[in-house]
Amino acid sequence: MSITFLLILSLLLLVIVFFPGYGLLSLMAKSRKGNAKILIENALKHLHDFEYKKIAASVKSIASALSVSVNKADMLALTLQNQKLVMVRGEKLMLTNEGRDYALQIIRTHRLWERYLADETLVSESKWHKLAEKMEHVLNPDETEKLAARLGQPLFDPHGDPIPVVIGNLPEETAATIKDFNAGDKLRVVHVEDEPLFIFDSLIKKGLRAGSKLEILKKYNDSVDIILNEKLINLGFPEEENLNVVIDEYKEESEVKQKTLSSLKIGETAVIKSISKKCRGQQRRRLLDLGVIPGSIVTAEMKSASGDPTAYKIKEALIALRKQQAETIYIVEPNGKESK
Amino acid sequence: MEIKSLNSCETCPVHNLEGLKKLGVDMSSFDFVVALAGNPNVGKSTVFNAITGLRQHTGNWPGKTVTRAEGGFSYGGNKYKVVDLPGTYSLLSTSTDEEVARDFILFGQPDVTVIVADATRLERNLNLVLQVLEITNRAVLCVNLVDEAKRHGLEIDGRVLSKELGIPVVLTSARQNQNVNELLKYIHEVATGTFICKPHRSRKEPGKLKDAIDILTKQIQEVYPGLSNSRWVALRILEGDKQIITAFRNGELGQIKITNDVNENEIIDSKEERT
Repeated sequence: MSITFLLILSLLLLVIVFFPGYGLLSLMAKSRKGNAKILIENALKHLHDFEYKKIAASVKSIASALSVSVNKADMLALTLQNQKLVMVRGEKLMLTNEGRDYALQIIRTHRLWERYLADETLVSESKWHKLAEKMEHVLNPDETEKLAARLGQPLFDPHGDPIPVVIGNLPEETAATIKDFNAGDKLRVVHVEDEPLFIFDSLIKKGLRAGSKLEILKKYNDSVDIILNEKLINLGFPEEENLNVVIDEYKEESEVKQKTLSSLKIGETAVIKSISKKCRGQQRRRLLDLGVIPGSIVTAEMKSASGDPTAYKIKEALIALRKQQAETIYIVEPNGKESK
Repeated sequence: MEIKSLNSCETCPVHNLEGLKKLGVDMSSFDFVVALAGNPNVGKSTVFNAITGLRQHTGNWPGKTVTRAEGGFSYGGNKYKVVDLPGTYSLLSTSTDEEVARDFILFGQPDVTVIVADATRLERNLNLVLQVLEITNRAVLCVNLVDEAKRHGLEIDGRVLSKELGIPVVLTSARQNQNVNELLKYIHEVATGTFICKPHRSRKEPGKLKDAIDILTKQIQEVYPGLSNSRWVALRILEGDKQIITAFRNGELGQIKITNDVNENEIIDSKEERT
């Protein structure tokens, strides 16, 4: 091996490692900075979370919430203090106003992203939280505001959580769960906790989401029977705990639930308003192709012996739809009235 | 719209069965390919049988589990191969059936696409008709089950329908072998260019998408300058249609030739459409 060859080789290595901006060292520094930003933001989220729940936060709580060593958490706390995002009071860590605003910004981005995924993409519900967890560190405030504008400045994320406004605070959290109420109470779900994921999945499968209305039928020691969408469902204690509910005050004008095709009685006619966003993919396409489009006139013609499915006349042809499908189709009465 | 005068045929007392020869066997040499499309349960198979005879070749579409029937007939000195497409409610592919049907019409480029419709469910059937007309210029509408419609007191005005759609319309009752000859004649006329179709194409686009479509169409036209239905392709890409996206990437789209007399850039702005 000649000396020139060795020289060239070592020169190459030096370039690869030290090249400004693209060399290995630069890339490593960038990723460390990126990681640092994510850790700081996650720490702020955690502090805000505890502050909201009125629990005292500390270096230890940061360490466990972020799954990092106590040493690392300690360094984080120091960084936060230096950046004037956090005040240290002995063991306790408290957010400064700047810290709180920063945390709210992250939360705002997170919830707006979830809103975006729910409203404009076909991404399944169980993936929203994870994707938003990533995106919250990526979008800058400008991009977030553009997103909010595009979504029409929504007030709630798809889980029912309020989206922080640009400068301000979250409204008082109602943390009541089903155990705080009694049999016979009619409740409305205001929030479905998205972690742990398997419980969230289970709740979604059972049809529970922000805005769902349920009635407590009977409470047991470790579960509860509820009526949801005219069906009897049982929820285990962990599932109960992950639902935040309030008493549902029914008001004639502010009825959130829209009239669906499933409510049409045999012989009745209505006009199709739209198909719920819950109905997607092939099912949605098929319904559209069969004539379930805004303005179509639909009549419930007959029910099968077991009560489900029902035959509906649409576009001069009869189609059979299951109750589950008919529940995703919104209708209005032919004279234009709708219960909204 | 140019139609050769039919009157001589209609008043002629003797049907010209000479040109009609049902072969019913899959031939290797043929002059034209005819695709048979339509909603399920419109009597497509009956029409297929009526024009090809009972002996058909059935198999599968390559790589798919969807069955495929082929047959043939002879008319006016030409040999026609008929391919029966799966019954579908639309061509916007969300199922293998629809994929097969759409791909055959779009990429297979049959010389004539016969769409069979049910006279008693015309409104719903027109959904597919209009979708087919978006991707081919050479089509014939066969409104079948007219005997059934008559029993319900329904009479279809084929002439007006033909005028509105821009393609020939034949009213048949395939199971009674009624008017099948006329269908064959129109297939022949469209295939040989005797009848020039001016298919009705709806130019309504959702207002919100207009900007996106404009941008995408321009880019598509840069890659495929000869493509005449680039707006349709743009919409499919925006929908995430995998087939079209793949075809775009591997150059297949360049093989689509649809002569289009309508200037694609004339868009009739419609009020916002929601789906």
